[in-house]
Amino acid sequence: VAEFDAELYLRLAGERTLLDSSGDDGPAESSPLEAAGHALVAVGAITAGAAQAIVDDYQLALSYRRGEHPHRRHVRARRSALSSSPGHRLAALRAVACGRLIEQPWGQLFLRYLVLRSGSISLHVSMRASLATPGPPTRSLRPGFASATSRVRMARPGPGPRVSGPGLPQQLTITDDQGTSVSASLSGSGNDHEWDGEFEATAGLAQETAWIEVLGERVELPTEPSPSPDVWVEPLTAQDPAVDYLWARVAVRSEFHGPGTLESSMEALVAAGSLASDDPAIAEVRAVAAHLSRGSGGARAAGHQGRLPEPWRSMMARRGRDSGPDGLVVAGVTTPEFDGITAAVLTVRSADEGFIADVEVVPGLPLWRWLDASVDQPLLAWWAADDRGHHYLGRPGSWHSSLDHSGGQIEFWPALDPAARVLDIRPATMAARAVIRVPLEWGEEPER
Amino acid sequence: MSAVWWKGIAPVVARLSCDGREHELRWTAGELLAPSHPDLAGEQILGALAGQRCACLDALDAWAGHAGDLRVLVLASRGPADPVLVRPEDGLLGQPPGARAQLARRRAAVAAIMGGQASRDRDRGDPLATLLGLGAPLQARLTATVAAAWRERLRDGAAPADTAAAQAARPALHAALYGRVVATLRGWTGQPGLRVTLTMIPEAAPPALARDGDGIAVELPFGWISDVWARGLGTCWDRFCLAAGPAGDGWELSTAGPDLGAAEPIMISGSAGG
Repeated sequence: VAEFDAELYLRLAGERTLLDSSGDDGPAESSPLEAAGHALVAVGAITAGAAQAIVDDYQLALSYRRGEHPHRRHVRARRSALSSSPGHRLAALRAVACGRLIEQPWGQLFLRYLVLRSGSISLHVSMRASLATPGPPTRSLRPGFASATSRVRMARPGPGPRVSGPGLPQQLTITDDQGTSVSASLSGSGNDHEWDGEFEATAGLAQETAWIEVLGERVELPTEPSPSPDVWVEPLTAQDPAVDYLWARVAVRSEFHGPGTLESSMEALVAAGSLASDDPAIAEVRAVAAHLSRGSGGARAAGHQGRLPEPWRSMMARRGRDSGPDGLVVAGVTTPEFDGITAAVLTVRSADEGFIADVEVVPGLPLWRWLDASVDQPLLAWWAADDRGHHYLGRPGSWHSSLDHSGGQIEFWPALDPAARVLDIRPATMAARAVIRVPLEWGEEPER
Repeated sequence: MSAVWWKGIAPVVARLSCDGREHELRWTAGELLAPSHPDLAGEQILGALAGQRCACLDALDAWAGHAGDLRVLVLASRGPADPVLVRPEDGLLGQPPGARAQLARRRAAVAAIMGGQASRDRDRGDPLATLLGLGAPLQARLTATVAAAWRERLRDGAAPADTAAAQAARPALHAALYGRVVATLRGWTGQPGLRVTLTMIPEAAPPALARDGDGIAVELPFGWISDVWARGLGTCWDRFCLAAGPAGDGWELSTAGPDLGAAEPIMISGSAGG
């Protein structure tokens, strides 16, 4: 039996990609080559450097045939550079609930929670313009699980404490108990009538401030979130690297960015001898991926639940239920580093359809897209489990990413069991995971 | 069944803007020439002394620099059905050194802002991109040049260092052959999704072609690119060409018909590929 040659396998995949692209002048949404490269690197069949060089060359060849701007190689380069440059850490933080609704002539400002760091603050808010102003349909500020489409956060450009037309303020002045004031700018997502986001300032306030003042109102802050979440890191021992890789792929839902990429990964792993072609995990992975790709309709998935392994089967069975509790828990905890990643969970916000965790991650991890991903970009899956034995899976919703930092909302499904009292949020790579144990003592959310 | 690698490959001319005028680059007998610069050596010396360059000289330098570059085999066309849409202006040839340095600095700055390192000639601003942008005929001859260089290293009796280099490059050479064979077979059969299994055999081994289920299994040496593909002999009289070699003042081809039966010879007279 000939020894598997990963370089040849990847190059032939590149040739097939080129040959099959003839006459296709649209941008490539996905590439079997990149999927194969990522899989082979994950199981150690080829080095990341060698695989990336091949992928980059064939992507350049594709761009020469499609007239695409090859800027994404710069994106990859920066991801690769970042992954090899240690030193990025999340600064210690203090997160406190605010729970204050402030009425203004332009509408309502609800202060959810405040995050204080040395040298920066972020005040997380929701805003609603006065109802007198007509406008387009608005989305709920509750977790939007009906849509599988991720919302991308947008910053509102331009300085000055102005409001635009019937819209919402873009800047706020926030003052602490030491008399220090900072001007914070709005980012987030929404429209002229509703906005969900945060006012951020790169100048810090006193981290132990007892109160803040916003729009002339003093908001008393709790001294500490009580009780504090526990956090720890656990190494994950690979049972079967190839199978573990496929499950990680499904968990981050990367396969939905290109039909066939999951199959390309499987083929590469089988060719490399890392996965038996008759491994029962292949059918299970395919079944779960098929269920997930059908969207959030629990009823539609119900007919095939018998073939799904746990925890997927029970998660699918509870999919679509609207029984989650309403409320907000401020966690404000940062994990130790796990597999080169540090994460902070700021809050958990639950609603009928599901729950959202506001998180930050270092280094900056973009939304998973094959075209932006380097062949060694980690698969970071957001799992959760409650004290009732239920499992949950999250994916980035509103998300922002820079070179060394990313963050946003992780939208979990299914809806949280209302009887749950403790929730473990478990961001996991293939090598390790962090566990953030959050006591579920719900604070109030604004009435909508 | 081999000849001087460039024999039978027709000369071509490409035009490019050089010092504000349109100049010709002429490829013939395996060499790229700049006939608009009759005193090339003198111009090179003067250019070096004065720090001035021109597009023609840059093109010659780029050609020489990439004559053995395996990336040519990845980036360049696999055949008429695989057009490469690089524009000559995507490269840096002909820019005065100051302008080139400025562009390079700008690219490095952009790359730095993007958070990465400056791309190491892996961009549209790279001289290879400009060479590829000089047109399909010249591009095919650059491919032939690179293929010929590596074919020599694969021959029995090559220097140990060349043999070692060829062994290390074997996956890239195999893939380059695969892409061109598959493109040719798909065009020949009219089946754009034809499945092809290629075995890259030693240069002296006999080629073969056979049905393989609903696909085709083919055994060819890397030298097929030089002997057949580069000369435009991939298909001839509705037959697939397995090998080509000089015979008298013409060429003898070993070909397979659409029934994929036994190979049969075809004699052609005059220049191939022209």
